[in-house]
Amino acid sequence: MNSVNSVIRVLRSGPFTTVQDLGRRGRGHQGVARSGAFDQRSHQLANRIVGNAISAATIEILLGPCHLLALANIIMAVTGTNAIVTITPSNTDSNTPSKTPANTPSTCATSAASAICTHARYEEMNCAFVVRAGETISIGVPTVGLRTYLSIRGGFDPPAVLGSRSYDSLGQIGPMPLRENDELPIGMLSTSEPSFEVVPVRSRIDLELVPIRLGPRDDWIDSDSISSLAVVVWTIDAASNRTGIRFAGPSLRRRNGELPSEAMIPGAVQLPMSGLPIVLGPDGGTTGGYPVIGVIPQVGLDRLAQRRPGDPVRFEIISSLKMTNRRNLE
Amino acid sequence: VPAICYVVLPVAVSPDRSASIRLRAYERPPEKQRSMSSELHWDESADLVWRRYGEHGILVEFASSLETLDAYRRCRMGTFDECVPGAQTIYFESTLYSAADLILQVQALLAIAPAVADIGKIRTHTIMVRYDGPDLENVAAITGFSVEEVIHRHSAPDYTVAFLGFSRSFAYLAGLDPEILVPRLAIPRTVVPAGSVGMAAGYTGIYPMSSPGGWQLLGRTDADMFDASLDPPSALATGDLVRFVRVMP
Repeated sequence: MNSVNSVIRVLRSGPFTTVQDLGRRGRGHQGVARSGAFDQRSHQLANRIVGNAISAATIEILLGPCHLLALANIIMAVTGTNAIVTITPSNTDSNTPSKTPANTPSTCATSAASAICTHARYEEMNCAFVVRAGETISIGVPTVGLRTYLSIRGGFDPPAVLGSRSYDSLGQIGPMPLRENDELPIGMLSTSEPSFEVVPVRSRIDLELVPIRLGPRDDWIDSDSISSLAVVVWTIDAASNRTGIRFAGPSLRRRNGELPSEAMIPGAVQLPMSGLPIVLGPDGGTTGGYPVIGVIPQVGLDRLAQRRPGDPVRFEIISSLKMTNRRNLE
Repeated sequence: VPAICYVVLPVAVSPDRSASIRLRAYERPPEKQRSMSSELHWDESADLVWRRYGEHGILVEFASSLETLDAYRRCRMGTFDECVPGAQTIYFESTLYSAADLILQVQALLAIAPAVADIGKIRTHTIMVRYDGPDLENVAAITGFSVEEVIHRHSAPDYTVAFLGFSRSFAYLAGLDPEILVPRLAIPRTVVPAGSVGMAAGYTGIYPMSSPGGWQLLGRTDADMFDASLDPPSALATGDLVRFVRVMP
C-alpha cells in the first residue's frame, strides 16, 4: 500500500481500521456486497468538513487507539463518536522528518497535554485542522460509541477495486485493513473550501432508538412478535461486526423453515430459527434464506454502527409503504 | 381490463414527489388499510407477489425459478440501482423512482415479448473438476449410489447459474439430478478451500474463496471464479450454462 505520494503512515492501527467510502453500489446481482462506511452520516460529514466530495474515502476506526504519522502537511477532520484527538510533533522520534516547522501555539493546547509533551495539542472533533509533516495524529479510545471517521482534504486514495476504495470484510475485496507501517496516498477529490469552524453535530441522545420498516417477510411472524420487536429493549451481542449485528433478547416466534435464497441488503433484519434478530451490516452477504422481517434505513444503521456490545437498542416501527391490490372493481 | 392497484406513498419515501397526483391513479382498499403487511398481490398476474423491501426497493416473487430467470433476463435491461435475482424473487431498487413507479417499470419490462427480451447470448463455461472431495462417500451413502455413479450424475447435466450471492459472487447452479439431492452438513466446516465444488440445498456450486461452509464437497477445480481486477469480477453470471468435466486427480 506504500506509494510515492503517501501522506500518512500508520504507527498503530487499532483493532480494525479500514478505508471506506460510499461503497460498491449496483453490484448485488454480481454477489458483491455494498460495503462502505457503516456510519454514513459521519463519513459524509468528515468529507464535507475538509471540502471533499462525499465519495472520497475516509478511514473508519473501530474503537482505537489509532496513531498516524503525517508525511506531508495535510488538512484533516475527525467525526463519528467522540474521541480525543491529539497531535504530537515528534521531535524525539528519529523515524520522522526533522523538517517539522516550529510548533505554532495552538488555541487547543491545554495544560494536560503540555504535561505529556511540550508541544502536544488537542484538536476538536467535527472541525477541520492542519497537521504538519512529521506530526503524529492520535485518535483515542472513545468512552461511548464505536466508530470514528478520519478524512483528509483530497481524500485517501488507495487503488479502487470494483469502483470503490471500501474494504469488504466478508468478501475481502478492496484495500486491506490498515496495519503498522502501511502508508496511504492522497487523492484529488476536494471540491470546496474546508470548514475550520466546529460543526454543531446533533447530539445523539436518541442513539438507542432505531427505526425499522416492516417487510418484506413480516408475514413470517405474528402480530404479538411484531409488538414485542418494538417493545423489547434489545442488547447488542458481542458477535457483531460489519457483516451483521446480532441481538440478545427474548426469542421472537416465527414460522418454521427457510425461504429459497433471496436478495439481502444492508439493514435487512433477518430472523433465524433462534428468533433473535440479526441486522445485516454493509458487508453482509448479498443473498440469504432467513426471512427478512423488516429493514433498518440508513439513518438507523448510522446509529447501530455506534452501538457497542451490551448497549441497549429499541426498534421503532415506522410507517411502511402499504401496498395491496384490490380485486377488480366491478 | 387494466389492473387496479393501490399504493399509499409515505412522505418519507418520496418527499419531493406529488403523492396526490400519484394517488389519483390508484384506489384505496376498503379494509386492509391498517394492515402491517407489506404484501401486495398484483391483480393481473395472480402468481406474482410484490413486497416492499427497505427504503428504496421492492421484492417481486415469481412462481418458479425458471420464471425468475426469464423475468431477470428481461428486467436487467431496465434502469435500476439494483436488480438482484434470488431463487424465486428479484429485488429492484431505485432511489430515483417511487415504489409505484418501480412496479410500473418492472411490469413494462415483463410485458416485453420473450423473443425481443432474450437478447443476451447464453454463455457456456466448461469447468474441469477433480472429483476427490471429502464428502463423496457421504453423498454416496445418503443417495445409495456408488461414488462413481454420484460423480457421473453430478458431471452429466448442464447447469444454469440461478443467481450469484452470499459473498464474492458465489454462483448457485441449478439443474442437479434430483436423485442426488443432499442436505447441508450437520456441522459446517470452518474452512472450505477456494475452488471446492460442493452441493446442498438443491444447488451445486464452486467456492470462490476460502471460507466457512456447510455444503457437501465432491471435488475441486483450479478455475478462477473471481477476479476483483475484472469487471464484472465473477467468471459466471446469472443465466450462464456450466458444464463440469471430470479430470483425474
